[in-house]
Amino acid sequence: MFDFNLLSENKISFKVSNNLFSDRVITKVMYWLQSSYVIEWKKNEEFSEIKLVKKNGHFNDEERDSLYKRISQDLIDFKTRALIFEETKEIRNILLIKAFANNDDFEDYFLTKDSPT
Amino acid sequence: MYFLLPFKFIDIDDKEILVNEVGDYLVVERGTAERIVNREIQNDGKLFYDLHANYFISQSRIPKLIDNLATRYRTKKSFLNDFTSLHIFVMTLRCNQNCEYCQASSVVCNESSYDISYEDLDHAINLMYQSPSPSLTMEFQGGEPTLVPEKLEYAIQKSEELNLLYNKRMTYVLCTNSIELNDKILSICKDYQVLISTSLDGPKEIHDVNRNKEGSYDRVVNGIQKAREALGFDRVSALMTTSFLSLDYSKEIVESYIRNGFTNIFIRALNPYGFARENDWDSYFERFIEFYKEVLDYIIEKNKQGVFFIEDFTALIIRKILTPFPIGFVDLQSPAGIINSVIVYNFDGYVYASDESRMLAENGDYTFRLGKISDSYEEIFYGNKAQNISLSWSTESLTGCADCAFQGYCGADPVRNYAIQNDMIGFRPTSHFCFKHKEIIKHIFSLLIHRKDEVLPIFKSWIA
Ligand code: SF4
Repeated sequence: MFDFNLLSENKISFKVSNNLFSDRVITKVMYWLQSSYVIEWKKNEEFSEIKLVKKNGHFNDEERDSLYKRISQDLIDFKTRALIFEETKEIRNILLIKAFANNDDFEDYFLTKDSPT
Repeated sequence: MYFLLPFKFIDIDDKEILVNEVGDYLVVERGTAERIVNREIQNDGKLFYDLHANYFISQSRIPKLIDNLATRYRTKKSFLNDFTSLHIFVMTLRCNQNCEYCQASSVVCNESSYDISYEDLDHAINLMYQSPSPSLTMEFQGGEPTLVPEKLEYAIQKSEELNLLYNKRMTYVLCTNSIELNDKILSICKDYQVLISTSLDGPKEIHDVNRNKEGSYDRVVNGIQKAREALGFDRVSALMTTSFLSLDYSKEIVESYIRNGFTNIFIRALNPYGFARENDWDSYFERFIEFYKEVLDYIIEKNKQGVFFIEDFTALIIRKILTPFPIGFVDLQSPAGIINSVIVYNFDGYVYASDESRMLAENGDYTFRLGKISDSYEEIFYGNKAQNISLSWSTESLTGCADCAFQGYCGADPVRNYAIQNDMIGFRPTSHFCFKHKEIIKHIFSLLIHRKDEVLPIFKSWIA
């Protein structure tokens, strides 16, 4: 995240690089902020520009700082979650199939190409 | 080199909690999840060993013990095997109390049009016995079900007759305010081993205000005493509801339960549905969490002094965290408890997904009315309504919950989401259900991190 700025008493803007964070990750971070802020999101080829408008009251220094820390951390955390999700999608499917299918049907059934044959 | 297995994480205090797909957890330093993903964990250290042994990572793409993990996953979800086991019969809407926070929208009158009909009782009992569950709980609720003793007796007799054919393990529960526990009712309870579940909100000063009736506490305590003498001490349990007034009396409420011979208390929050919207529910739930923490602290102290006493909600969460088994508590289930575990046969001749569903119906909203009691089992339990609800009843697929480390400990409640937020999927950032569960589970983990030696033996004794 960069260019984190207070635009007015109740509006903050910041930018997020497209190379580092996907729309999906940004959406998940923004989801949890929606209860307190109205979100404006513009995107160009390099980055997303996001504006948070506080629904009630004005920003003070403390809130601004904690919001900066929270968004920075949330971006990293949701990106980590997205990576875990992507990398484990297949094994999770196998796990669920094995958990709920009749075991005999799946004894020799492997879903990944590098599984033993 | 290692492969990742599915897991989630959350920061609590200065630590990170990793939770795997079957609910096992590890307390690690902050930033560990990111290091795991970046393949920065050396394969000769304790952390690597812990992650590997607890199914967070694997040395092969498909872990050798995947069948073991799959069995544990299946066990966690084994409540689905039996399908609906709790069958709630709303015998009447009439009541002899006028409680401050009544969520059953009871009526104080003598009109029998508010009672369930014999015909509907017959149909409902037939439906109940079609459930595949080998164990069934038939729970009588109201209004106040003791106001219709002849129907209560009829329903149990009818069920016993049918059970000669089905041979299920039956449990009967009478939810009563204990005000009118007369000899007739107690003799029915004795004959059919009916458990009594009553309401006690704490000391007299709180209970009487909540119930809007002076003398209510004395009558309830007398009723509990009478029921214990007639049925056995452990046949009577009590539930409390945390009213706005209760929030200032954590210790007094626990003490009143101990004084009345109980060894447990279930700290239950109010359900905002049906209350005036102008109540500040955000502040209520924030205060509720503080109240819960005070109660839990007090109970832990009591246990340390040698008084065995359980906080039930904590025990449920602890069981989810520490054991591989499902807990059979409908609020903490995914897929949700509604329909899968509980169903409501209402006095009005219709079947509802939950208690809250019938309250919605009383306000003209029939979203969770699954059908008539006289409809077929398939139409009710597998019909379009049930299928539609099922689209939003799994934490695994709900926005917010899908990424949450507490997903396996928490539950989904589409009815609550709909009732409060007008949407079955719900919106987690403003959900009190989410806030409450998240804060409670965080607090329990916080205790396990910072006061493990002190609290773990106590928590384990609660789930032994
Ligand atoms: S309701 Fe909240 S605490 Fe529960 S699983 Fe969903 S996000 Fe997590």
